[in-house]
Amino acid sequence: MRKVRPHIGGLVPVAITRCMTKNAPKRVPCVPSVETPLFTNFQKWAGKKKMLYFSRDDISRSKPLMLPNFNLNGNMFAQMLQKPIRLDTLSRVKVPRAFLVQLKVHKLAVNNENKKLIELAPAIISGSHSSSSYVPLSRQALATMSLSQLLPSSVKYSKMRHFDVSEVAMDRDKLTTGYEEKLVNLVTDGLKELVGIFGDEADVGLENWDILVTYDERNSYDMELRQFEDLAGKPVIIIFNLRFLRSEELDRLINVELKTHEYGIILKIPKNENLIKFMYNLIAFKTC
Amino acid sequence: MIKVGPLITTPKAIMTKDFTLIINKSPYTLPTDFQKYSRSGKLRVLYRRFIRLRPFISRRAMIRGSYTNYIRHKFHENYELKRDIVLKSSGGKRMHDLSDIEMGCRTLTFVQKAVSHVDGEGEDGIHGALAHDNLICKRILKNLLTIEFHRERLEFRNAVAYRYLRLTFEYLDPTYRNLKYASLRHADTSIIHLNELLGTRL
Repeated sequence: MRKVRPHIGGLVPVAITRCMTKNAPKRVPCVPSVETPLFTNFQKWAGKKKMLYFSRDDISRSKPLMLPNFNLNGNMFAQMLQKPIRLDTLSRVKVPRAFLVQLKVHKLAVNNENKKLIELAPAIISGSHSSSSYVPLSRQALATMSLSQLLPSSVKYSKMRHFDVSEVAMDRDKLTTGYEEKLVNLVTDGLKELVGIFGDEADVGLENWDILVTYDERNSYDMELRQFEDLAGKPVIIIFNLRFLRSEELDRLINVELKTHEYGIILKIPKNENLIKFMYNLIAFKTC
Repeated sequence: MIKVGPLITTPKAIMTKDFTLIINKSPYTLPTDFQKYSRSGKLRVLYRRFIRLRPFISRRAMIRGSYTNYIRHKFHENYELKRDIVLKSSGGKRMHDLSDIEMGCRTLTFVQKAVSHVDGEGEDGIHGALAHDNLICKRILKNLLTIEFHRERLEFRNAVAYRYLRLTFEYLDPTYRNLKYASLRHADTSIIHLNELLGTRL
């Protein structure tokens, strides 16, 4: 009986029927154009810290400026806020080091009169040479905090040597008044040093964010932000008023010898950083 | 220091030894027609940009969480009251009259600077100075987030502390009796003074 081939023309597409025939055209295999996530989204799994990238062209081309320079290097508050973080032992809050007083432990001579072993004293210029603790920049806090709160934790919890509270020399006056006196001396010395330098630069003008040191009995603010609208560029100036120190020497230095401007002395932040820091510490310590 | 060039470069990013540098900045910057938006639209645009910058702030979830909470508080808090309390003891005058939207835009620029990488780091000239400025922004933002984390810790399950720290801002007054907030007050006062000088709202 003759075989009947089924008619598949309507079911199989033409291309497949051609492939099935002997005379099908040979095709060269090629790589399919698939976009692999290896290259399209590599940044998602590269595992590195992400940052926005600004090339030199990006910066020069963008108008208005996408990435302006704030000039924070000349800003007192920015400089204080960028300092490393330290733990305040009173509140257990971590704040930048500029808003705290560093206390350091010093070894005393063996046969001292009070028979104490170590002494606790504030450090003016912070350093890392011995164990230290940090307390708020406040006179009242230093006067009222207990010795165990003031001691550095490395001394309190040392496993090598246990220090009894009676072995630690701590003078409250030295902590509060002594700290203040040290700062006042440093400020006075710093201003005296400027006497020789300022002679040539007496005509220096007020620029934005400068610090103006005054001794003004009529001004009731210790630290003030003021905009000088009559000057060119309308600069915003930070004014320190040291009248609360009641020192005739400072009055004479600021109002007579060093007066570079009709209001007082102009200081700039990267140049006179230490002097400005001492003045800020004095104001914050006294008012709080 | 040995300078290592890009290891892998793709159309979207450049991978160096330490960083993934994202080339396309448009999702993180303000749209060109920003001024045409309504007030609520502007606020939404700003909030989205701040939140989109989250992966750039840190790779650690805890710090990213602090940043998110910080941004949310910034959109809710009564900044004018806070500003007045601080400025009362330092002259009593405001240094600028920018609207809160403008302050928000400047704050966004500050955060963008903190997470940006500029070619020419460590060099003299414009680009080196800009890179150093960005570094200071980054340090300040990092410190702000640390302070914010500790503020959250103080107010946690403490309704009284929450009221002082977030609603009435009594702790910013120098005559406030509790010495526990002294260091926090110094830091926050400086932040507000910095805001006065830069026109930001950190």
